[in-house]
Amino acid sequence: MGNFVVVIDDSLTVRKIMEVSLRREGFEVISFPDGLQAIDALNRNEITVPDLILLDVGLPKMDGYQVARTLKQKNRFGNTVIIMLSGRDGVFDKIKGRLAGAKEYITKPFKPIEVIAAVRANLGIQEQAVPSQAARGYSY
Amino acid sequence: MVTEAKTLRGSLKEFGLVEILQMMGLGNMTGALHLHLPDRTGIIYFHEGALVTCSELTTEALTLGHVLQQLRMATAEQLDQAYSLQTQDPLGKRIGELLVEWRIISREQLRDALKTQVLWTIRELAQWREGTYEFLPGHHFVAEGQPLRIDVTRVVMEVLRYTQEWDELQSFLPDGMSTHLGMTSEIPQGPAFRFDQPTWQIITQINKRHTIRRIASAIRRPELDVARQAVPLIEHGLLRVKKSGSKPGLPQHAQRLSMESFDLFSLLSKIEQEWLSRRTPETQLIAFAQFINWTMDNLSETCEQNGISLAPDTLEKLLVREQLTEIDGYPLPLYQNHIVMEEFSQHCRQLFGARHAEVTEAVQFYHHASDVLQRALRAAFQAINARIASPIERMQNQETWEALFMGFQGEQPPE
Repeated sequence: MGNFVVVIDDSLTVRKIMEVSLRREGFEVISFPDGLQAIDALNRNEITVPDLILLDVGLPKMDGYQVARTLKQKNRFGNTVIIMLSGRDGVFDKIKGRLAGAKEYITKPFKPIEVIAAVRANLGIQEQAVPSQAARGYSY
Repeated sequence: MVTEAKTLRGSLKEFGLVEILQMMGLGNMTGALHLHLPDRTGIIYFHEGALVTCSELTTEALTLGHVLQQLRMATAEQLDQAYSLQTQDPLGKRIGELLVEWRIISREQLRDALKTQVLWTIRELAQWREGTYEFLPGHHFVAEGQPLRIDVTRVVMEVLRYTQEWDELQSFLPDGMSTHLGMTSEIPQGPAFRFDQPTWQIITQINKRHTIRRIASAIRRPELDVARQAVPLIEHGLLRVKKSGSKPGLPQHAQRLSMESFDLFSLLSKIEQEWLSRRTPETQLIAFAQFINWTMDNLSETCEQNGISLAPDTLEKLLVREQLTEIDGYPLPLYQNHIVMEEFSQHCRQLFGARHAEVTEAVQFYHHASDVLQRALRAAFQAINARIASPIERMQNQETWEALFMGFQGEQPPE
């Protein structure tokens, strides 16, 4: 079973991009459009504790910093790595992310390959060779 | 055999392809069946129990071009001409469509050839005695045009007939139609051998074409006939079997036109981020034009990586084909695969800066322009996506860009 990643972003496009990209690399992925739904699912044990969370900063209802702080206050998420995704790249935003418990801060627009590299690096997973075309089930 | 809510998988040793095909037909199943050997992959798509398409990923796989030559529907020269045009216009028509347009084959012949390609591919896949299978329900094949629909019973009959015949040929041609053959360097021992015309045709192509499939295509005869005639030559020691030249991958022509390296998701992320910063109708329309230009830039880069150069009128051809060259009588200004931004922006500024009396005209232009530009962008994505080899990736890509377009709709147009 692959590492488990939760994506929290109000953009359906970002959720789709990251779900597909991560699954193609062998990760298990679940995504949520806002932090409250994610926290609720985690608190109810509807999903297992993720190895990593990709967390958008500009979320509705509760922003990404608050979501990160809420999760990091609980011991069971102590080992869960949080990577922030944001359209803002100011130094202050990055510091806020770090203070809320995020390990990394990625600015939008992003290249999925770079996000995957950050996910791997933070989970201590070695870079994989590009899956062969045969393994990806190509046809033409 | 293991069944879960979502997948069905097991070993081909225990449950052969014929049994799986029958099960798919009886169960009216829709989805993708993947067959795996350590270095080979086959994929078969079903829709409501009927077979839709089938392919194997190797550099020596059966292509439509092979079938058209072997069935004498098209010549190598005609196919080369079509390939050559396709490499200049990667978003243009595919080989079969071009041949129909040039009246070399009819639309019915094209469908027959595509069906033959599926049947001949699947009868070879059915010879795998080892390996695994996995059925992914609900995975649809995204087809361009009318998809094929082949009755499973017909496929099973063809597979059984072929298997019976192939059992006798298998030991001489271990890699099927991709078996690599060469002339022996020593004079064969044994009785004198007389060659008839068809056999001599095969011999003349051995050193040039090497595999049964390529020889059959060159001499324009069905590959099974060529295989039958090649076997006695191997038996008599005139030909010898070499190590297979087949490798996982795409056939050469398909490889050059492949859009695997087109980084669609980075482009979608960039487009979305830019879209979020555009608040006024004028800037939103200009953004749509910019998105089309970015897509064409990425396409041009991908073509360069594939060793082909994008024809400067690719965007124009695409827009003409989709009937998207103008908005309310205003022709989109095009130059070298770009919408000329300066000119288009100026036109938008003029319209949206107009006095109150002309607001209705501006609103109407916004709606039409937004529709035309989004359709153009979608058409470009679809054309690029059609050159992605994996049907699963094609489907995932489409789902992702549809999410982006839903985001465009979420923005309120001007009143």
